[in-house]
Amino acid sequence: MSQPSEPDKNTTPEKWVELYGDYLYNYAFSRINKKDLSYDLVQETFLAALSARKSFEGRSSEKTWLTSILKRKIVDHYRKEFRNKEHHIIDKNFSEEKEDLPFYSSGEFQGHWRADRVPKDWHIRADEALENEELRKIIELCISVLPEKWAAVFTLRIIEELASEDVCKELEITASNLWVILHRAKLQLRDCVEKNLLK
Amino acid sequence: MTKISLMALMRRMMINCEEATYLTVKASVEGVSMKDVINLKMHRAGCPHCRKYFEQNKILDRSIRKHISHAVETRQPLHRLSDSGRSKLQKLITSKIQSA
Repeated sequence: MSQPSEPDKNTTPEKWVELYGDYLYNYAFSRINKKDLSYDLVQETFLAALSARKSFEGRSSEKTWLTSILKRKIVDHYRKEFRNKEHHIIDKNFSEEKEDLPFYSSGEFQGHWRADRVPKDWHIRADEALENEELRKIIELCISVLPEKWAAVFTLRIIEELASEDVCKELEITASNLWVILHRAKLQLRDCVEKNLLK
Repeated sequence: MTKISLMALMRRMMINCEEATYLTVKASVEGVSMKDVINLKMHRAGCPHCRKYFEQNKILDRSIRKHISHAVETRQPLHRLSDSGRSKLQKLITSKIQSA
């Protein structure tokens, strides 16, 4: 029986790569979508864990502990990425992207689906969608082509499932910014998935 | 007096598709106020496009949750470290431990 209160018994860094390497890499890749960067974050995670090993108290499992370090690295990555961009660009992007919304921007039908952009039938039954390998691959592809700023918000809120409040704090955006970005990101994602599904 | 058709009047009272999809996304992630729940239901009752959007958004959310957010818990990771990456990491850790 392992003793959670004895830290050093739990940490066996020589086995980390074998035990958690693929797990951590997969975790990073699903949130970063870039091979090199995902690898770098895993490496940084191991290095940070090695130097913090003494303070690991074994209250959680080693895997949970390593994952929490990686999570922080992923948030940091998006925070830097997001803040590096000049702030006014966010507004500029919004007005530019507005042109590409699937809704009429003026006239009698303002805010209604454009006739050429209405959602089409995907011919997928809702109860079968989860097992649909093609759909899974398309979704992954479509997430990877989201604009960087949207990807930051989308990844942290939807995939990493951070609280909205925390996402806003990390990225220094308002709650209304967050929802506008998620709305746009979801519309683009749906559009992209549909185009690829019906190709 | 301007003549307003019944349709135009209805449109003015109810939320439009842009607002409905915004609320659909917000509702699926975090929930919306009771007033907006009712707005959404009324809109969807009369709008087949937004009904379809609602269903497709649900499919996307479920698939993302299962295959991306929580996929890492499954036995076979979808993405793996390369062999060279794996041995590089192993060497790095071993050297750090020895020098410590």
